[in-house]
Amino acid sequence: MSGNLFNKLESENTMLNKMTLLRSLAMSAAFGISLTSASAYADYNFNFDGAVSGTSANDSSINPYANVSFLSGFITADLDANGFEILDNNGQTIDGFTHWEAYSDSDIRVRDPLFYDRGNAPSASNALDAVFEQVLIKFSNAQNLTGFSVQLDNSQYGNLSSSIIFLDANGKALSSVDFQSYANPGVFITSGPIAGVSGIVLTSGKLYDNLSISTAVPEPDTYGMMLAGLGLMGFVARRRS
Amino acid sequence: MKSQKFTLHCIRALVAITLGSTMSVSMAAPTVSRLTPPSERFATGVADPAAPIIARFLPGQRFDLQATLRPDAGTTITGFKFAVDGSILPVTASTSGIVTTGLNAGLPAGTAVISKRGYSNSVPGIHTFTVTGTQSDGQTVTATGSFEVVGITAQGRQAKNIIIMLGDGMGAAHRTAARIMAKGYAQGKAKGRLAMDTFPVTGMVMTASLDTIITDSAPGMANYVNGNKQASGQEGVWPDDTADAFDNPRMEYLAEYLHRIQGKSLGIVTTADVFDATPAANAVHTSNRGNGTGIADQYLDDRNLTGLSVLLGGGRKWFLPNPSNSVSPQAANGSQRRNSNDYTLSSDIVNGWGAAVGAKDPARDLISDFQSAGFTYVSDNNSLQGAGVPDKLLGLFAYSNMNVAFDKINGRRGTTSIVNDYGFPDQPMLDEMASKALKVLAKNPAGFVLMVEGASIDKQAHNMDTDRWIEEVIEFDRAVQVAKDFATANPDTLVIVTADHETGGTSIIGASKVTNAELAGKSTTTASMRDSVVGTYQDAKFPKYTIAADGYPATTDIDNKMLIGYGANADRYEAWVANGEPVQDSQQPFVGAFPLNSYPATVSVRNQSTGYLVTGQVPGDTAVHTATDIPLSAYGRGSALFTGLMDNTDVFFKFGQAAIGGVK
Repeated sequence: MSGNLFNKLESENTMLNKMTLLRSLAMSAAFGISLTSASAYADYNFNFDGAVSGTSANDSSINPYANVSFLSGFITADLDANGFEILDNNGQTIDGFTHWEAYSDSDIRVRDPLFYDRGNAPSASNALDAVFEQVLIKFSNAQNLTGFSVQLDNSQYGNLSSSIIFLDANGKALSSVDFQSYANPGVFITSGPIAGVSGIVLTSGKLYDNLSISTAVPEPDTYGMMLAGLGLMGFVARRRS
Repeated sequence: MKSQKFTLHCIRALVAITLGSTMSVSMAAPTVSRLTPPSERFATGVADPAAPIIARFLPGQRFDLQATLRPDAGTTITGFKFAVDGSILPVTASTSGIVTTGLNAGLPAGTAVISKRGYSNSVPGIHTFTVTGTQSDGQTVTATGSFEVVGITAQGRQAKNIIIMLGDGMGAAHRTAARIMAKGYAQGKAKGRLAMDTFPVTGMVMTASLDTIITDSAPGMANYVNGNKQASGQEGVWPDDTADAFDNPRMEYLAEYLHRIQGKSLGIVTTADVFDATPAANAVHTSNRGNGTGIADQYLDDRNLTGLSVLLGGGRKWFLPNPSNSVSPQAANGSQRRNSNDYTLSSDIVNGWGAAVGAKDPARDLISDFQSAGFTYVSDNNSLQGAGVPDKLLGLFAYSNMNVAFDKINGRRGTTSIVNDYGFPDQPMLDEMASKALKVLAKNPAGFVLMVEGASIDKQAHNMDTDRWIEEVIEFDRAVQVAKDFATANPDTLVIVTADHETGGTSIIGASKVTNAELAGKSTTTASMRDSVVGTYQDAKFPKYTIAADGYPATTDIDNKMLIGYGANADRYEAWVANGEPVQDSQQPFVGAFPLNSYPATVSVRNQSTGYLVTGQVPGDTAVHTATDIPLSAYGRGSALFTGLMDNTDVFFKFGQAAIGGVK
């Protein structure tokens, strides 16, 4: 299960626990994404139409951005200082003590909505298939979003309560946009500036199209060097513990 | 003197009370005698959340609001409005008029029923709703009820497919008895497990309905699939004060909800007549589970609401045309369609739900109409197996309830001709029906809801026909294996195995101390047939049945056979051996004709010459349902939700979480 490494690091080092950049680094390691390959882009635009229906959303023909990956997400309990899940007496998660992670066997695909009898994609011919999966869009490094928009598929199908959830490097919600995907064909869901976004959850029940994410681009040289340095510190700290 | 004064005071007080009463009558406002959805807030005035919330819904799940208003004598109801959380609901085409005709007998003059159809609310939490009625003298009344919208949280992967394996009447003892017979025990350990035994999650279910601790199958099933308590004999509706059984206030079924928001299909597979309570309580809205013509029609007429794609079972008698509109004499084709149990709907229901208007049309050829709607029709196992994998499938394998596994298997073995007597020698087994249903339903990439019912576990437990219901559980379990195999191959599938209630107060009391030959030779005295036969505790040992290649016992009449008692029994004559014939099934259109009329008429006369009388604890001819909690087993995605003790309505919300919010 992805994300455990990051949680382990978090629980073992309280000083580094507050260091957002290291969180980004550790989560990147957890998802097997190399920071050295991370690129800084101003805008991330996806129409999901670069390959045939059924292609992985992480195929380079769909997703050309090296620091972005589409994963299948789930919400799970935070870990306490001893590495145990924080649960109530009934073994259930507690509000405020959960975070999002990604399944290790994530397999998010693009799909022609006609496959589900959901009409044509807003931009032909594919959309991102979140019908049965909570799609977790992961950035290998935190992003300062200046704008976000995504378009719902053209069907009446969907959930009565859906959300776009913006996550920090711990997988915890920074903010969210709640909407009704049911009976709202083709609607754009938008959000304003949000700083420090390491992941975005598109909740299930829908196909999403024309995903657009605008960011404030950091200075690539200093930012990358700082991340690399802190990353080394983090791994050294873990080895010593 | 003192006494005279006291008397005077009493007279004055009496006059004052009388005048006050008269005054209060003349000044009284109208009253609200029923407010739907039901709530403890309205019924008892207990403020939430001290009382249980009776009506609960998934976000956006549709339901009707309804009230019965009683005006003062000499006045009429002239206006009404519904409000939720203080916001008045606008009058639209889904708002009824003030209905004062067609009401139940005995209501005061001027009583009015008013409705708002197809309401929904997407905001999680407890909500209040009010109705305000105005009568012709301008006086008003307001009553308040409550309901809850149960939130769904996005948690993980969804259960795309939901399979409900419903062993009607199947309590813990029924499952244990089937395991003993089908798998056997050795030195205290089961030599094998039923398919349902292998499900990793087990819970217990409380089965009460809206109006009794002892549910019947209509609310027993419906409570699982719409999250609300229904009353005896009712499915997909709450009680009302009108005589029409199809106009009751509705709540949306799981299949309707998931078809509407996700495009899922619905499959219904049963060994009963498809009009029977359990199958109908997945798709049909009526307060009278016996209204077969309307129930069968609604399956087709509202297929666009339910997503019905597979309907397999018995019940052909409701699908064949009956221009005579009579069952006396019985139509030669076996049809029992008639106006008296058909339906039409009012415009507020039609507009609120998008439901078909319906028609009272006993001459309707419903099979032909299904075919015109794209359904492939099959009439026996041969045509079922040869149907390929059509997009939609209708299978009607008997006039009414299908024959039970005991008789179907013996028919296949050629050892009895019961199925021939019924006129349907080639009926499929439940696992064969379930297998075909899954192939058809799996064609929908949006997923499906499938309910598979082992119906005659209940029907034969009612009849205290032990050998027949145990084999019925074995047949049901073979269908469970089919569902489990599907879920293993398709991990986005959730399967639950449960029952609507327990039937019979059934108990495994021990085993026979004698051989089958000895048993057959016993006299009918209690001393002979009970005291020298029933072995309890260590005298029961471990009965050993031989399972034939077809998966069923070679015979149930083994030496030292397992013995069953009934704690909710009517009078019966117990002979312990398998009954050669089932008791007559009153649902069969030709039950009054030979050869079916030669079968035992009732349980109370069966085995009169061969068994000893076991005096019943309940009146009537059959054993009854009990209120005992029943086990639930779960497998596949979301199965972990189904643990602990739960109300039957809780199951619906677990389905909702698994199918919409997903699970980790």
